[in-house]
Amino acid sequence: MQHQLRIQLRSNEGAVLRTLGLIQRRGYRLESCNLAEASGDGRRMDVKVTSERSGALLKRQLERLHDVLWADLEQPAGQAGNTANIRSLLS
Amino acid sequence: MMASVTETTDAPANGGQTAATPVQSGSQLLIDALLRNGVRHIFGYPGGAIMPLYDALVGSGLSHFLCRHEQAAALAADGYGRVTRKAGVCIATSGPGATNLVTGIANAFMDSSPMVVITGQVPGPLQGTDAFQEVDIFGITLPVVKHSYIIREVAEIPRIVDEAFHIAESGRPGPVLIDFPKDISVAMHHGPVVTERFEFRPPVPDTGSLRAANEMLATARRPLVIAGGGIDISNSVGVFREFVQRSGLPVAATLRGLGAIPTDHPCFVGMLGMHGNAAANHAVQNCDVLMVVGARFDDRATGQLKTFAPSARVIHIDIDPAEISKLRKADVAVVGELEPALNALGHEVHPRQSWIRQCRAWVKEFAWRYDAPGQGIYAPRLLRDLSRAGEESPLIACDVGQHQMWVAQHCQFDEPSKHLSSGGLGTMGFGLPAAIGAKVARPDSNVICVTGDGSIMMNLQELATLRRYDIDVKIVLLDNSALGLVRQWQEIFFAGNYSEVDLSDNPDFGAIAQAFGIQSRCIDKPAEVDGALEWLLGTEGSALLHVKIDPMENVWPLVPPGHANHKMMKAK
Repeated sequence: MQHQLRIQLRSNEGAVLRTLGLIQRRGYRLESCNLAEASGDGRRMDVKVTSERSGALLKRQLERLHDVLWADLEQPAGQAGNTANIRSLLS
Repeated sequence: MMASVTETTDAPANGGQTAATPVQSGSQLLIDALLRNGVRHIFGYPGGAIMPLYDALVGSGLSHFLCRHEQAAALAADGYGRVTRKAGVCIATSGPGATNLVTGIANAFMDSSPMVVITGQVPGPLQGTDAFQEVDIFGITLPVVKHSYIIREVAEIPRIVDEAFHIAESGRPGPVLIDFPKDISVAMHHGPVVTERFEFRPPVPDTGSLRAANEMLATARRPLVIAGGGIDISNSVGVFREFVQRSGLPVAATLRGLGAIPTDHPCFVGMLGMHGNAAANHAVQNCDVLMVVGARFDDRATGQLKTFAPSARVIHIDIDPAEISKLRKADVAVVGELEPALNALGHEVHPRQSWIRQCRAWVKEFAWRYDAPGQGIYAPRLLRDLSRAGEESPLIACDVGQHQMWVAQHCQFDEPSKHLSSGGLGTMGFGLPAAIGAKVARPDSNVICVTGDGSIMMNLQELATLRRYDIDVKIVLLDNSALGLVRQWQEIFFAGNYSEVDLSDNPDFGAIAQAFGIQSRCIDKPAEVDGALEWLLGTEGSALLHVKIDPMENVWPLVPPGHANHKMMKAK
């Protein structure tokens, strides 16, 4: 099952690593990730993940992180090919 | 959920310099922040990168307990935090000092203990260069902390420390790490100190959910309550007991929920789970409404999930929304603090009297027996008697293994914070440091460490800490010359193909106790038990009671992995 989430992060050191690490170790495979500056002092991360586990559960686990201001579960993604956008994460 | 108020002060909290523009080092600022957050005791071990902080510690008013291994410092801080419900504090240097803390941090994380961890770090310009005693402890601990920081500016110190304590202690508690680079620790801060006060606004239980829960309870014919560790963590034991008194519903407990109601209460059916009491497991498997309070459906408690409480609709009450429906779907979810939820629930319940009678019949049928055959000392009976000795029940910190399960099954606890057990991580070596932390926190309590011959060796060096600070902890060492629980599993599930569980070459524990200046006694006969317990509990100062028990004694009942809780194996 694929899930799409939009996550608002604080600009704290390690926030991105902490968030991606949680996604990974909670049993969700990261298919793509887009990271951009957000209005105010923060960052916006859009992720697509696949897992048998529910997207709503991942949302709640993400929102438990101090660095995550909110996480929205988007409509289930379509069957289009994954567009890995890790480059924007690494730049 | 978190609101903050910024404050500025010109005067350092510990009465330091009072010049118009006070100048303080980063270390002094950190010490002040600890004091401002109510810290009085810390556990730690110095080293290169953390040396400036240790320099500022002298004369600060903080009581520092030098442990002999950083892991023990973290576990002691965990024990301290469990008992006080305030963050236990531990400090270590960079590199190996920091990595030695990781097991203790993970232990606190798994059991939701409040903790603030301060690690030294190499100076900023050296970070990332494989400097001497440099490790990325921030990165290493990302999965096992509630939150963490690397301090980059000396001016940030007060706000970061204030926030760290707030995060560690609020909501579902947990460990928070502060990495403290050496250059920041010696940097001088000029000017006012900016602090913050934080207010945690916990989620308020939704009235719709409470109404649905009450409706479910009111129509339940076979309701059962599970008491979890969250009851004690949130200081809700009194309110939970009022709920039980009012509703009269039967209550089972997880390992960490033991003592939420007294273990001899008529509503108590026992601990559920892998080594739980059969009465509790049968009650869970036959209930039609299961109200879970501050518990997280851990696999040791549930057994095979798909067959757990097969007939029950579930009401799950917890402060952490991420636990709701994580493992078992909640029919009604009540998210918020336990106290208002419990106060609102259970005013109208109509369980069938046949169900109440059935639960009590199971309790009677499966009551623990102490008429064990054999010539040797029966550890369960000794532990039961240990917990009953004295006018009030002692605080027992145990290690991990067979003795841990026997403590849970047979000791009587009148409150959960008198039972310190490493539940989620199952850390051997937890017992002695946790007992130290608990005794420092509650010097007037009788604190007993129950341990095994495997576990005690993991943090044996802390006998020196007992001696150094004259910390009165009584140790009951149940010695079966084996890594008992692993041996039991190899007997049952690996056809007796024992692998690396023989500890018959243990050292002379009496000689070890003597070397650390601790009195000891050794027994191996049932007739010696009463006198030995009297000696142990009446003796002045720390003491070790070395109890030799049957190497082949097993913990029963046992729910095999992957099986339902009612499929319990029993002693032959």
